[in-house]
Amino acid sequence: MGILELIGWLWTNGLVVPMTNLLVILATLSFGSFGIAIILFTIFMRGITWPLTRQQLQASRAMQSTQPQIQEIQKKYKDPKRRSEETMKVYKEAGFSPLGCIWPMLIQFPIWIALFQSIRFTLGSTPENMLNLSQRLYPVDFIRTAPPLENHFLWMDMGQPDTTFIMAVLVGASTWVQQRMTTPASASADPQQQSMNQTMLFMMPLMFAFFTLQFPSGLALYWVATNVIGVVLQYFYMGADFDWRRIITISPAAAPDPQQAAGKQQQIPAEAGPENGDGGEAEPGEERPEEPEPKRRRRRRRGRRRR
Amino acid sequence: MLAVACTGVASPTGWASPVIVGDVLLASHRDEIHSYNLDDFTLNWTFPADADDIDTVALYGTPAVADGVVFVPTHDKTLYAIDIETGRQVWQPFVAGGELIGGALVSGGVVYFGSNDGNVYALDTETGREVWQPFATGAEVQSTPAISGGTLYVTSLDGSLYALDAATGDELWSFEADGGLPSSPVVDDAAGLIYIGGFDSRLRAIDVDTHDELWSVKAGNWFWTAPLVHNGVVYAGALDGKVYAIKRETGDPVWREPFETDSFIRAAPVVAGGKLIVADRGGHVYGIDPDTGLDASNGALALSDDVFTDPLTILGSGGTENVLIVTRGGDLEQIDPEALITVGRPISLGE
Repeated sequence: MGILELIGWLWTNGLVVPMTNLLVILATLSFGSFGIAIILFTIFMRGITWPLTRQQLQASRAMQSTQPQIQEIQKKYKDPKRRSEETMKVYKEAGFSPLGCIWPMLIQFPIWIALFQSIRFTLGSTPENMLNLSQRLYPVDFIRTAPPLENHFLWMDMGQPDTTFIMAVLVGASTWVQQRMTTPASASADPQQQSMNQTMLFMMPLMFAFFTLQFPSGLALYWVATNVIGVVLQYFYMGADFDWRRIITISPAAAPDPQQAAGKQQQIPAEAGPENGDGGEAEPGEERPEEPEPKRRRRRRRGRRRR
Repeated sequence: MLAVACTGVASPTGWASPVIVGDVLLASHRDEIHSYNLDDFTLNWTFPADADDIDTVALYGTPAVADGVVFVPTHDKTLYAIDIETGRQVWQPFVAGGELIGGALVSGGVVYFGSNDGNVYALDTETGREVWQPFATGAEVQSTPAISGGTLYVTSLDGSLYALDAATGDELWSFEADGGLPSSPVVDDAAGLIYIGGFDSRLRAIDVDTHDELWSVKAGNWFWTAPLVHNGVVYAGALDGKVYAIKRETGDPVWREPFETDSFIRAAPVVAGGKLIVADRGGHVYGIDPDTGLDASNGALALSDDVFTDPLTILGSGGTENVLIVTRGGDLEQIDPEALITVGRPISLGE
């Protein structure tokens, strides 16, 4: 067996087949409703991936708390290498690994793809798929006799794309909310970085909304459910620290005041001095960091106090 | 991501079985049905023709023929009525509420068929108008109806066998199995039994008079194909890759053990040249001794591609029985069952 065949075998028998059987079991327990089965499946998957999610939430909170220092670093250091080193140093001291945010997102993709295949198999959108399903179901009467499953849930056919655009809007909106909650509050001092963040902010929800129009609505239901669960978890984890107004604002929030933040956040390490460690003098040709706009800062602080 | 996502998910390709009417062979592949002259296998016509601008998607149900009209059920939810001479449509196509996976049955000037919308339809063969209001089952109907003595028998994926008055569509009685019934019912008038196979992995014999189960046989996976009744024995292939032979009176096995093939069996068995001919999904054709269940051909014949369609027996050039099988790749193979070899070159359907 070659490596590709082995990967294919593991993919099918380690992921798609168990997932297919789990969906069939959940659908049977849900009186045949495939839509409810997908929601239960989402809760189950969220339970399995909870250690990773918790890691992400911790990372997200740590990232949030280090933002004032990161802002200060971005203003102080012009050399990208040095800036990166100092940033990593702050992250390390805060006990935060940027990879911690990525894993839960990465693990979603294989689940998403395997779920796509499982939905196609389970709902038997073609007679050939029903034949294939027969070869993938575990030899248990309870499971084997379950098909055909009820593929209609609310207004949707779980095996077909939702043509009403409702799911596309829900997927886009929930992805937006989830994304706004997990990305740091402050804007990057680097215009290029800021522009990239801005693009990503729109790209992800739009991309997933577009996928929704192409893929079975069962997949969209999974995506909405997993986002909603993510938002709820995020809320309980971040609690009052989260500024909910950010969800309805389009641009990334303004950079917080490093001096204000310094009062309650940890300081940049003493050895992390200015560029080249030469007493704060910038390189010739480099601009000194701009002072944050005081008026805007004050308004933001007042707003927070009122809350 | 898309490439991985689409791997292993089958698109509809169809598995309609060939039919012989007089000197015409009707053979389907994917979304087309072709008419051949049986003598020399020259192509008469293809439906849909290029100019028809019709997308049938795929053909699964075996077409029915009556009075020079071919009734073709298609995956695009439509039943077409086609002139067997010209390949042109006779009346406006009838559009159902769901895909047509099962075959059509013609009897007494009415064409009967089921649909994925769960309904059973009855249309006048001359006009295409509905004879009675569609009969609604609880799930998809993917089998071909059977008729006997004015009673129409229909199986549904809701797990029920329905007996309907063929003239009115009224339900006479029903029998409920433990799982969906994808296989077409087979009526055995001599024994007064109906055989049905299902997702509960059971092949059942239902008494026509009492409407009760006389016996059932459990396989290792679903029964999908219609069983074959021959010399008082019921032969059926299952999706566990085994062929079962059962005494129709008692339900007892005829063979010491079921005949095992290489992969699952979707195609119905036929008897030709004194052998039970079975094709498995992998394109292996077996010649089995119907009495003992042993391999009567020294191994299987390997065809060029998978086989999902039911084989068909025809008279070969020497007056002996041959078997026609359409592979998934669209090759029409003619097989000598006695020697279990292919005869001549395969015909590539549509070319």
